[in-house]
Amino acid sequence: MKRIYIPLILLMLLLFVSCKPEEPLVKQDFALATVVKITLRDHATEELMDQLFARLREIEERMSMVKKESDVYKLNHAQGEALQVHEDTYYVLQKAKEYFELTGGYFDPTLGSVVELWKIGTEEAAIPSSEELEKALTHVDGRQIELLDNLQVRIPQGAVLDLGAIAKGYAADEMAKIAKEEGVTSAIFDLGGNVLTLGDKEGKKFRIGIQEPFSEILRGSPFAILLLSNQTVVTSGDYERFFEEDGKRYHHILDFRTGYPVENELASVSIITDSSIRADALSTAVYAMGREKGKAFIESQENLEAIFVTRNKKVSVTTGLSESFILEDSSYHQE
Amino acid sequence: MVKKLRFGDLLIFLLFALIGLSVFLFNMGLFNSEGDFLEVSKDAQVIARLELSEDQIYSTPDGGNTLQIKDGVVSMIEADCPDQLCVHTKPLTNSSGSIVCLPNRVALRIIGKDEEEHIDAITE
Repeated sequence: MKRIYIPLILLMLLLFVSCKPEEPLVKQDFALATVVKITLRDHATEELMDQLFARLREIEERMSMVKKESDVYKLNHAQGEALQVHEDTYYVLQKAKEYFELTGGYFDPTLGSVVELWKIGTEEAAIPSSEELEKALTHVDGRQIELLDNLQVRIPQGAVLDLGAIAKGYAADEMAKIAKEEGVTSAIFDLGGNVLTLGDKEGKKFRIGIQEPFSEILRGSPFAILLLSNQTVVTSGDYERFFEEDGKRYHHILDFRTGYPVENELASVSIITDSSIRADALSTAVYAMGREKGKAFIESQENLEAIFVTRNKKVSVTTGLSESFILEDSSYHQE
Repeated sequence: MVKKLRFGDLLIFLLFALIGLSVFLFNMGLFNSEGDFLEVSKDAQVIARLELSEDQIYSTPDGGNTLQIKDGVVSMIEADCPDQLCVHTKPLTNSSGSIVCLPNRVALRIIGKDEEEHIDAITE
């Protein structure tokens, strides 16, 4: 008689274990001057999460422009002397020089002297005088970075490194590497809108919204969706950080030739590829290039996709994205 | 050896069925007494968990940020930060997205409430 209970008990046990999928582990913190959100969907432990944030802090400590102990700060204040840096910094500088050459200077890690004058993103943001800008521009040239043996680096006196357009990408790649080694197969690394996806969600691609670049009233509202798996997307636009004076907007992407914010028909550019350091550096560069030059550049590169949004709401996507880009807002026109 | 079901057996059988059913319903979220809530964090520490079903106005302990929950929709209604980007962020209705006040290091996100067309992250 008792035997009839056995299947019943088994059935109930099954209900206990099978109904709810594993909850993803999410942690949000502030680093690299932005908000960083990590979502681990499997193999998630608090220890791993701490390890990832520790790696992020480490990179921040080495590449911050303002922290006095950072390699970047020390180099900027070395008066032209060579200094030994951490291999993280050395690697990022190597990459930065590579992207400088590749983009013909549109990505320039030595724009720091100009960035320091504008102070965009702080309360003291103001338009510098043209004399100041001219002087600062004489120190802008990525070729000045000398990468010597034994992790020694030298920059000339007056030159100011700013790795703000590449460090977040590097940090995302590094954190994803650690997560992967720990067995994670599904995760999202979101560094202030630089998004890197690891794997997918139970066979479905991640849905990444693309910020609408116009309305300041509605931050957090996407005009389109991008389906991503094992890829990264980084967006650059004039709406991210800016200040206004006399009705004119001054944003944070500066022209290496004039020292003023880049002015062209683009409202935003999103770059999609495998490595986040590449996407980070190139999104800034391609935005600065403008639409025509930017498109030609993207087409000349392997495994690089992009979404261009112009000020008159024209959207164009490279051919590799035709399956994964979904326009949601009908006030935009896809070409 | 077929025995007849006794009343006691039937009772135990019903009891098991009832427990099974309630576990099932609980897992489906029908008896979820906690409900969906809003997580408020400052400096990456959770400082409050607010029921989404209760309309309310909440200020952070330092008074720097004030948020509103109304009909399950969360918005930042006041902040003493210079850029006011958090106040100008689209209100939250589900676990997609978050409202962040970078200067005050305050972040809001909804836990639970999910949607079919969930967005996993936003690139900006």
